[in-house]
Amino acid sequence: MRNDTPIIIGLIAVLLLWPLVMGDYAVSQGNRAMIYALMALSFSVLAGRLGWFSLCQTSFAGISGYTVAILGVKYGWPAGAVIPTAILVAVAFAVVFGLLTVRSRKVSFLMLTLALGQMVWALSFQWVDMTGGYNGISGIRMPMVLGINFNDDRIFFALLAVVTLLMFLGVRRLYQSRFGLLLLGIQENEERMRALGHPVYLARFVAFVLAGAIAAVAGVFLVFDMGIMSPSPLGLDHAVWVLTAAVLGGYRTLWGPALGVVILVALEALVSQFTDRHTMVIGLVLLLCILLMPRGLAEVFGQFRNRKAKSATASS
Amino acid sequence: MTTSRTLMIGGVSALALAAFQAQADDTVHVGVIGPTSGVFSFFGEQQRMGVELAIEEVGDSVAGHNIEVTFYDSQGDPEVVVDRLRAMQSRDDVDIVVGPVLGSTGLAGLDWARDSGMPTVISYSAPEDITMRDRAENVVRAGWTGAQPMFAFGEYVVEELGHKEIVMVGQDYSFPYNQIGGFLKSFCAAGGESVERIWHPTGTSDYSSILATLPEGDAVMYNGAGSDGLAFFQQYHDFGVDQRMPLIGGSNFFAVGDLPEMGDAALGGMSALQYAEGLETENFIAFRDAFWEMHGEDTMPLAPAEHGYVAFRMAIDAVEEAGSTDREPVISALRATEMPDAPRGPFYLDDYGNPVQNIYIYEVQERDGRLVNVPVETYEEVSQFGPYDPEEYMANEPDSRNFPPEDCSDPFYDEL
Amino acid sequence: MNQEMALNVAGVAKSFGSLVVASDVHLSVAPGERRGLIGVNGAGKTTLFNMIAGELRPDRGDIHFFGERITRDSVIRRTLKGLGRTYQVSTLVPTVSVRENLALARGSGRLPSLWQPWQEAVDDDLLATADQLGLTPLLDDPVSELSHGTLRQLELAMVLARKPRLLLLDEPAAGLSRVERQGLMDIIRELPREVTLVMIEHDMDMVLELSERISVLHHGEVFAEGDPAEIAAHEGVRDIYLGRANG
Repeated sequence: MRNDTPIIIGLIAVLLLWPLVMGDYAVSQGNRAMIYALMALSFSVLAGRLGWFSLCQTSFAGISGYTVAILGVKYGWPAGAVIPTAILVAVAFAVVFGLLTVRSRKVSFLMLTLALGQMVWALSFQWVDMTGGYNGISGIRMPMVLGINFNDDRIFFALLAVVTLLMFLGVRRLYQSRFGLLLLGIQENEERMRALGHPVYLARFVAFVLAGAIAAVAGVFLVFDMGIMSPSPLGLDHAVWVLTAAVLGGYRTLWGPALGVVILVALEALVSQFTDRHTMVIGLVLLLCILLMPRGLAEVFGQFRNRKAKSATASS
Repeated sequence: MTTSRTLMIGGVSALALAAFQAQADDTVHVGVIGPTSGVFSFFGEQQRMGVELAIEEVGDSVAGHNIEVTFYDSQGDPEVVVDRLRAMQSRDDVDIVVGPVLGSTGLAGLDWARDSGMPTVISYSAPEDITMRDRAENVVRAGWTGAQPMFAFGEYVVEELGHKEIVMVGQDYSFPYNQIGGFLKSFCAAGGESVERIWHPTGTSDYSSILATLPEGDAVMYNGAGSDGLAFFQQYHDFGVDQRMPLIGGSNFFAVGDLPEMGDAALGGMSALQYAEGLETENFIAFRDAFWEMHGEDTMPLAPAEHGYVAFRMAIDAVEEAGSTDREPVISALRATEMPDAPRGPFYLDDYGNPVQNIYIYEVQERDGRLVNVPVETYEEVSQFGPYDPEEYMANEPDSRNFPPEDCSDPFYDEL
Repeated sequence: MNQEMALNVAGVAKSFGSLVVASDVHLSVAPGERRGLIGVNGAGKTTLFNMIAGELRPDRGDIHFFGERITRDSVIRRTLKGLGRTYQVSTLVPTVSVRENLALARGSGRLPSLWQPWQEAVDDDLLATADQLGLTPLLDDPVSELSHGTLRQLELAMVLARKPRLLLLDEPAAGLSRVERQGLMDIIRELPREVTLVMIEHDMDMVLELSERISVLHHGEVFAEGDPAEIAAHEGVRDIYLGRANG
């Protein structure tokens, strides 16, 4: 694996400086970007390592978000109990979905996750008694801990930044582990991995549940960031947005999904200031990017760096 | 990875630039938010056209402040609403918000406004708790609550149409719950007997099983709108149920742009709303003609347009009254809104921030070659609480799928 | 008798629809034996390998491995019992390096560590096997850039790294140069006697030289069996290879 220490250091610097120098809106956009970067990471763990394109990763975020909203607002549970429960509930869903999808191939996996995601989405607005239907649930706030108000955008940013960074570093370790290598092997040649003595289904199942857990954490932050929970984050458009960001940035790489999300969020923020047709403009930019760089930005940069490194060794 | 870092820093500075876009102190910046894209864009477009008309009428300045207006697209998505509102507050220095338009986005807007303190005039969005149990000092409404027009309609259906047993088919979510809730309360009080509620999930396109097993009653009410409503309307006639029982509607059934697709079969259809495009008052005609002049006669100004128009005028009037854009005086001026010359008819806000206004029982009729909702009866000064005491009303549980009870002999109605 | 045999295939049959690929195969291989498996294209050699390795389930018959019935075992369970095979078409992980492929060679049947770096899976033993096959200078090259010959070497290294008790080689010499072929033969010759070998190969010189016994598969059955000299002299086998025997 390439040495990505400069990226990590640069990222830490940006995350440290951002809340100090930027305006409120940029900070809130930073929060949004990190939350969606986690979802894109969750997507990329499956897409990049297993070739499994999932359309239900945002559903896990939605499930944990709804659990926070329902337990916290409707049942008045304390946040200390709500947050771990929410992640557990989403992971439990990931376990069930994982059992259902673990034997599927690439296209049928996509269709299965689409169906499962749509089911959760439909449930979110049709189970009115629990979810509040279209109107959703509002009034969700972070607790005060030790006199620190986590509802403050900048403090929320700090917490989210730490968690996001830790999760990316965790996945980085995972990608470099024997398990991570096995996932790549399974993507290329499932039968062969079995013949080499590897439990293919178990590995895929574990990867699926882990990816679900990452999305679940994103969902907890999402619901506290928005203060409301409605069916919209569970919709297909959000799933496709996350997919687009990951593909744009490069889902095969670790940092690509984050890069893709940052670019999409920045594009939306800039373009929507000037025109209502922002979806079209962004769509066009994406189309061009994907046509010109089908493997994503991060890999293009990676190749560029490799070429430079190669020419450097050649000239020395 | 130098290139990626440069790019990120590029994005950063672009955002920073946006964050520091300063606003001069002598402007009043109004942010208008509604769904101008997506499946609900009809509502957002209507609001935008209404606001554009109000902008033209109000002029460039108020109380020595230049008026600046920015339109934001909510995409009908609560998450987007929160994001756009944040942009208004911390990036664009908006002074007053007009909108959001839809139920869910209205609640999201309220939730955000409560924390931010932003003076907000919610337009078409109708969840009653926005101006009831969850009300916020800085949030008022130019429109209505779901129950409000139905208080009048429930009474009218018993007293004038003589229907005592109603079969209701409705979309399974909170707005229709609230509509039938208001309906039931006055319907029972006026001597009605029962309303049987049949709920279907939103997004249903096939009503054959519901229609085939429809119980008998004096009339059927479809409590919903949009593509579900259109499909129900067509299948209701295809099945010939209209020969057996007349079809009446919830407030949005005939009122939000579906009449051309319903066609002549809609003639005679009745419901109730605080607005009817068949009004013939001087104020309304002036509004409608000005609207047509600006946007063309093909577009009928419907309730979301008028509510956008009114909400924007409320915002500007409040700044004029306050003489500044300072939040506190603007909010108190907003809460004291009285608009005797509104196109829909005179209204004022109650202590909770919702209009007390005329409710029109309307009937679909043909006028100049187009189908129009024409008022046939007016109930004046109807509040969001109907005839009930506000505190007692709010002490009741909110309307839900099964509340209030469907049988008018239920003891609940004796205590009301 | 089964107990003594490394591999015992008894009455195995398999068909795909109306196409019979194995009608009644009997094959017994003693521990430590070097067995050649020949036959014309379509005789069912690779299908038989697939059934022995567990990638195909036979319709009928039984397969025993060192006395143990493995007919219904999964691929992975057979692998863990000590069965190894190579493939006619190289089936490695092309997107990563030789070293990473080697790191994958020794699955234990359990989930590999989520934390331990994969490099730690490449121990001296693996490196020694790789070196024996001449892979040391290529360790960090991506597999997609290897020559065909090197790929075969890597295939073999991967399977040898598991120290299998029974090794199924599916045309190991196909596409190799003369020099590479010579090297391959040396390696096979030097394999310890703990490894029982069954080899499909079209190169008759190689089969005759390396095998102790040879089975000839024809129309989904074992048509003839014997030591290299017997097979080389067998009339029927000659007919098959000249296309004269049509059953």
